[in-house]
Amino acid sequence: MPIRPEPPESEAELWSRARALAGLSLAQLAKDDDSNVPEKLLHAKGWVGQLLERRLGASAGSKDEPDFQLLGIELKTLPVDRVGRPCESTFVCTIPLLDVAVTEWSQSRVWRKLGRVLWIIVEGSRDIPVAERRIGEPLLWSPDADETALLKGDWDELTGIIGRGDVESITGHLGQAMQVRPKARDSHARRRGLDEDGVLVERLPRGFYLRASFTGRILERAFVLPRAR
Amino acid sequence: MGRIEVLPSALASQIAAGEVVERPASAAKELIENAMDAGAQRCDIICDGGGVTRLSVTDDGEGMSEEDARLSLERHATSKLRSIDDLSHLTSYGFRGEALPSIASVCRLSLRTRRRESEIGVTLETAGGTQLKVTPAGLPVGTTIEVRDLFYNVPARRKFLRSTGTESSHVTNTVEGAALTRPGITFTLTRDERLVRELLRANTRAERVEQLFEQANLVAIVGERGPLKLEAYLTRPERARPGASGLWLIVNERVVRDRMLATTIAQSFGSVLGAGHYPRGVVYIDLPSELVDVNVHPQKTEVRFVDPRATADAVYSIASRELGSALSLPPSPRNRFGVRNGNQPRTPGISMWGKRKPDDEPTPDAALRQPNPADEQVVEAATVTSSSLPASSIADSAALIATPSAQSTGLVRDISEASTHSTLLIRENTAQTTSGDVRWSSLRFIAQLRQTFLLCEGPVGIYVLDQHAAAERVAYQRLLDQYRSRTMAAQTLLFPVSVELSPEQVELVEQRSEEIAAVGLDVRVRGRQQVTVHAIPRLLQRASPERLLCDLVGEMARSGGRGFSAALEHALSLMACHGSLRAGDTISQTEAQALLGALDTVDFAGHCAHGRPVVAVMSYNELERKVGRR
Repeated sequence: MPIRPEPPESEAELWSRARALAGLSLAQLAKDDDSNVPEKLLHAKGWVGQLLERRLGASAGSKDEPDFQLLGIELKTLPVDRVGRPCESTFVCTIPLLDVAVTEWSQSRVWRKLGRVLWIIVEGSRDIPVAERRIGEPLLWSPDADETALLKGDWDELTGIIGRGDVESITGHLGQAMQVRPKARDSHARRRGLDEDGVLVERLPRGFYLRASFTGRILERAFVLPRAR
Repeated sequence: MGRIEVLPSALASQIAAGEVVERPASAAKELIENAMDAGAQRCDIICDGGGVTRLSVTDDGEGMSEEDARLSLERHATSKLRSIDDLSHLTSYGFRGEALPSIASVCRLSLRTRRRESEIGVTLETAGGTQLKVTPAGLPVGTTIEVRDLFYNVPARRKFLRSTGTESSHVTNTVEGAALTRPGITFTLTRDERLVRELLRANTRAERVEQLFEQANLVAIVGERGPLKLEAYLTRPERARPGASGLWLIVNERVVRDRMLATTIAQSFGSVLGAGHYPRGVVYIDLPSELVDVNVHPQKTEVRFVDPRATADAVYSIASRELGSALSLPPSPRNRFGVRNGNQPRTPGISMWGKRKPDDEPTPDAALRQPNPADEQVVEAATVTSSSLPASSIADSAALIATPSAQSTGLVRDISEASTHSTLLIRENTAQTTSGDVRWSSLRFIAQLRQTFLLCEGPVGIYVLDQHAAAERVAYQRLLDQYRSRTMAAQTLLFPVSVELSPEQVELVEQRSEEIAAVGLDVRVRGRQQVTVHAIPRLLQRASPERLLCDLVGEMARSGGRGFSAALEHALSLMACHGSLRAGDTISQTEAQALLGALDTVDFAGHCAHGRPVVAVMSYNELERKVGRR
């Protein structure tokens, strides 16, 4: 029988569940979940996150809400290399190109998602077989004042550009903590947005991502990283 | 089973000899003590073939009449004891009357003696305690006892003897011990026809210590508490050795082996001595004879204190204070060996004798907590009266040992003050290694040398710091402070580290989980032989979690169920060592300056937790002399 607990009723319960996973391998988790471990994650993006969502009792599914709705906590898996550096940027949410420019920061999806995050660290080095990769220690995180200011600054800058209809000029270089990148199955996917003249046009969907340097600093503050030893 | 029969006296003596005469050195000890009891001013010892072939002790004491000489070879014949009450006031080394007959029973012995008032002396010869041959002889005043062919009739015992060199060394050690106990006697030791020790009569203990510890750079401390007097000459922390073999303990002029006292002396150095390290030197403890029982073992190298705890407490109190001021040692806030600090209350109503006192009767601990200005007079009175018959007041005398140290006349002095006419080599050598009053943060970091040393410029000279020792000292002190204030900060590991342990160690981890958590380690048991480490002390992020856990578990296992605090401090010291900046690590200017600043916050007396000096200083004057500018 797969282990599929009910959604946690408190932050403490979620924390306790997450801590119990520290040190387990993905193979052990998959066995408890009655699922198979993919050989490679290239074509199974999101498998680790879904596995952890089921194991921890996340309830939102694909809804545009924090994974643990009752608690307002978002679950984020963060693959790291052998010295504890994040292997990749972290997806936050897709961007509603039409109305993002008129949304306040405090009402934004980004803030709703990042207000309270349960980070689950996972070994992500490609030389470690997927089944053998281990789950690390969890971290319940909320951005502090400096981080919030940084995120809000990026939000303001990036949504301003989108609001001007100049989304095509946004590259991955913009934003100190957060960047905008295409978020689509392939380059043919389209969402409706505005051009520079305010005319509705079809655009490549985009999403907000946290830079690896930003999440790396979070880890450095919270953990003893392997490279420090 | 055969019939029970009384053993022949010769056989009984041989069996008894097994307890008294273990090796040539123990025979030498008994013979030298007899000489000292006889009031000798000079004692000449000859040792050939490790003391097995020949061991001779000649003294110029009062000698014996023929009748006494004959009796001295009889078991339990002694001039030093008449009744059981005398046992509590013994001032002589021997008293059991069994050493000489025991020695005689296992060798060929000759005894030559003459009393001053006799015109002629007597020679007694015996082999294996039998075949006594007595002949008159013209002899100098005093006694010579010569032991030949030791254990010739007990081959089993002879097999256990070590090499000639080893046995000779034990005899030498015995002679040195005797010389330390009685500075007023001249001792010579001739080994295989070579004079190897000539210790001329000294006026003070300090002089005698100097004769034996040339160039040892000893620190002298003197103090007293109640009837206990302490006089010690000890090496500086950097000269400490593993094991207590270089530390002489002399209680009431008797060399003793006492682990508790040795440990207490080591503990009085605070945290600058490594685990299991002891200073070299000599510790004299004098206290009324009724407070010490020397009749514990035939060899009399063990003593039993009436109140061992109070004795250790007093020794610790004097030694730690005087050493602290002499060497600028950091205060030892909590002792590792159960010696109570003055501000730690005893259990109310329980006297140090384990008897419950009436509630209205003042207890020693009350005196400890409330220093009494009149204590000085009380102590003086006690010191005087303790020599009168105090059988009923032994407890009172001993209790005074535990009185506050306010009245103790402890003083630290250069040993040259202790003996005014001597030109001693034992002195403080502060220029080389200690920090003086320098503010570390005021030093200017110049460069890192060989990725091991930090070269700094200061107001009076150049300072070379051992980067590992300095970082370790800072880490250790901070760990200790955090542990004591229950504020040990832990840092989670990104991934838990799995550690294999023995089942016993895993059980220990389970039993001691709270204490382990208190030192900042988050350890969870995963199986019969597996645990995972999830967090380590924040101060030790460089350390390997496996090693930290093994350090802790290792110390805990060694300490057993008791002495966990001591084990913990040892473990913290090891952990600080393994988790700090090491030789070979590169350090930036900012980090170096931060380390110097951190040293200001640590009272470390220039030594790391293992007793090694952290810094070497060369003054500009010295530098100028070296390059010929002066």
